[in-house]
Amino acid sequence: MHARDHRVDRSQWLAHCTELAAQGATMLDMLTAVDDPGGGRIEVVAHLVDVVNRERHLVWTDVDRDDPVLDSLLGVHPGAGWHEREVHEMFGVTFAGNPDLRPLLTTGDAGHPLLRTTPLPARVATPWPGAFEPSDRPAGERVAARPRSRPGPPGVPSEWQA
Amino acid sequence: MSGHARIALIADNCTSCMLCVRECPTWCISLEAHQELVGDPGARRPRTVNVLDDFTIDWGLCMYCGICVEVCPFDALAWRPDAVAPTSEPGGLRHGKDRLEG
Repeated sequence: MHARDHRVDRSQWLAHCTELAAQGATMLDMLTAVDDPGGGRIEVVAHLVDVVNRERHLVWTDVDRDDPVLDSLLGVHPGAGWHEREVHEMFGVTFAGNPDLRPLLTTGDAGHPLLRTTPLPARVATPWPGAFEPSDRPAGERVAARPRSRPGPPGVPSEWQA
Repeated sequence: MSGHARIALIADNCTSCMLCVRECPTWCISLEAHQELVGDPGARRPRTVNVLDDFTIDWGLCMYCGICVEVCPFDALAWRPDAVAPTSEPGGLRHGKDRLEG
């Protein structure tokens, strides 16, 4: 059962999902987001299922990273409340029309953990196994060519790295 | 594809390129390697190869996402159907090269 992709403008998000629900895709299986800092946007995706006709739909849209606001699907899928709360906590997307966007896991003070630009402080104190280079142990006295720039641990801002 | 229960190392294929170690989201892979000279030792530019000394997966950290298997350009990591054995020893879920092969 292959999922059909729909890409809609953020202004059409609620209307498109409402239309799909009217056509039978009445089950909201999942709603989540993907951060795209390079594109200045956060993609939001909903997985809708038509359980009678065995059809799956992935509805994609994107919101402005500096002003991430999207219509809530609560009116169509009451179960969207929990997912929207999670996406709000993890990505900072505000769902207009959802009255309860309290954080589920975090205190809400330390940023949104799943935005790629949010630092992961615990990783600063943990040695990164990827820092090792085999050329650190060259054969004999000859020093092998070393990589010009060394990669740093993901999640740690470069200005925090030694 | 017979099962996704653990990941095996095919050490002969590994070039110690570090891709899996760096791509792992949970930082559960580490490896030890050194370089050795190959070919004519008198050549003007002696060639070196990486030699893998040890390769460790910490199954207590691994989330079985398979990114390391996907990212390995040399097929040195592969899924296996048999599960990782439980242990009562601290650090017992850190499996080195000997236990990961096969």
